[in-house]
Amino acid sequence: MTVEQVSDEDLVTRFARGDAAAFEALYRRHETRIWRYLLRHVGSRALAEDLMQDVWFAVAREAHRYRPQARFTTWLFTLAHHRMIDSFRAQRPQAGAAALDELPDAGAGPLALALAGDERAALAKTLGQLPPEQREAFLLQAEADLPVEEIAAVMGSSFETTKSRLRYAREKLRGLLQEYA
Amino acid sequence: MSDQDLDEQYRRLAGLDAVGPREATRRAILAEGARVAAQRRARRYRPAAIGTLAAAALAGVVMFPLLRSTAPAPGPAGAPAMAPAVAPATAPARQDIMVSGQRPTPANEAPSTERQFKKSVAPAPALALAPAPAGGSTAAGVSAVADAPARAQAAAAANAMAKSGDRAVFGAVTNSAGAASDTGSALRAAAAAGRTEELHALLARAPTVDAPDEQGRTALLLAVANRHAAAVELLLAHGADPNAGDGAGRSPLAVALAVGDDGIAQSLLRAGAR
Repeated sequence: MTVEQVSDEDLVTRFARGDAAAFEALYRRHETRIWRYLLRHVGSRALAEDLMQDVWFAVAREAHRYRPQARFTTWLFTLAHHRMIDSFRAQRPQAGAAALDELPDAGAGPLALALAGDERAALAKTLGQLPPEQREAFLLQAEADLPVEEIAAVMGSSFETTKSRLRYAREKLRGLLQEYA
Repeated sequence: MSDQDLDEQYRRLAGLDAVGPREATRRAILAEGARVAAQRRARRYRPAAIGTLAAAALAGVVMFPLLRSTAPAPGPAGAPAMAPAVAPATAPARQDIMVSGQRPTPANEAPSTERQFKKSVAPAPALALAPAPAGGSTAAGVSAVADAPARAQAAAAANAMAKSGDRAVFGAVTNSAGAASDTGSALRAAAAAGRTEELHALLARAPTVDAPDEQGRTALLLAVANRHAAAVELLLAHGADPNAGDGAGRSPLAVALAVGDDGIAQSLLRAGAR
């Protein structure tokens, strides 16, 4: 059986016993999904890089506590959710950065937007217009492919609340994305 | 637009985005995974080795009195005796227990944890390996002998990372995530203020020289923006990436030109800035 055929849950168990290749396989398997979830939610590549590292360091250090009763994906995104909340609470302005803040923002101009891709910018803008809870619920569904029950578990909210958040998020996105269809 | 259409459009647009973090972040994550895996392996095998040694020592302790009581009285010259052949290896352990005034409790006889092993049975082999310090307890010597392999293993792992020249990986091995982040903040603050002596000290601790803040600003970018040429030179000499821009897409070279510092721009170009 190749590593690709091994379930997430077995890979975590193997890693907890000291198999470094199992950790690498897990990381490669979930890298894109967790990266997009973080990047889309925080809207800053630098912050997403920090969070990505924090989340996977936590996976490495907490793997021995994981119990296969919960899906690995749910456990992983719960870790990411908590790390994001911790990060929002801890954000402080960077000393000595004033000099940079006075310079023009290379990403703000229309040319830069055009170069970066109009549609990509539109997606970021559209997601940015959703309330944080709706955005996170939608990203957990679209990027993590989690069912409503597991999204509720990750976000610590009830099933009904989560369903409402998803419904509102989808309605708003539908309206906002219509013009790019 | 149906739910399915919405999902399809989202996935199409999402596919245009960058698909992952920077290579340095990826390497640091995988290095941390490898470090933790090595730690787990070491923890798994240590109890097994200790158990084997403990069983051997216990067997010696139990068998010694039996062998001694059944050993034949000194017979004719040249007749071999069993007890003297066994006694030198097992007697010290037995003596340690008796001298301490403890009854041979189950903990003394069959230690199940590393701590118990060190307290009761370990002195015998430890004393054989390293003589006890004169006039002192053997505990320190035992502890030193027992901890030395773990320390040597950790030092070897850190050295291997350092030799590979990958500061991001080395930082992940020697610091916790929080400590690395604090060092990164201190480094950026020192660079922004042009405090080169402090920078020297921080860089000597091998932090991730390109650790960005939440807006993607590295120490080098802040030193450039504040026109601290000496700090820029120092960071470049320590391997700072001359092309690491911030979240707004501003490169160090673009910032140097924007603040009108030709000297710093030249330094960056020499270091490979584009």
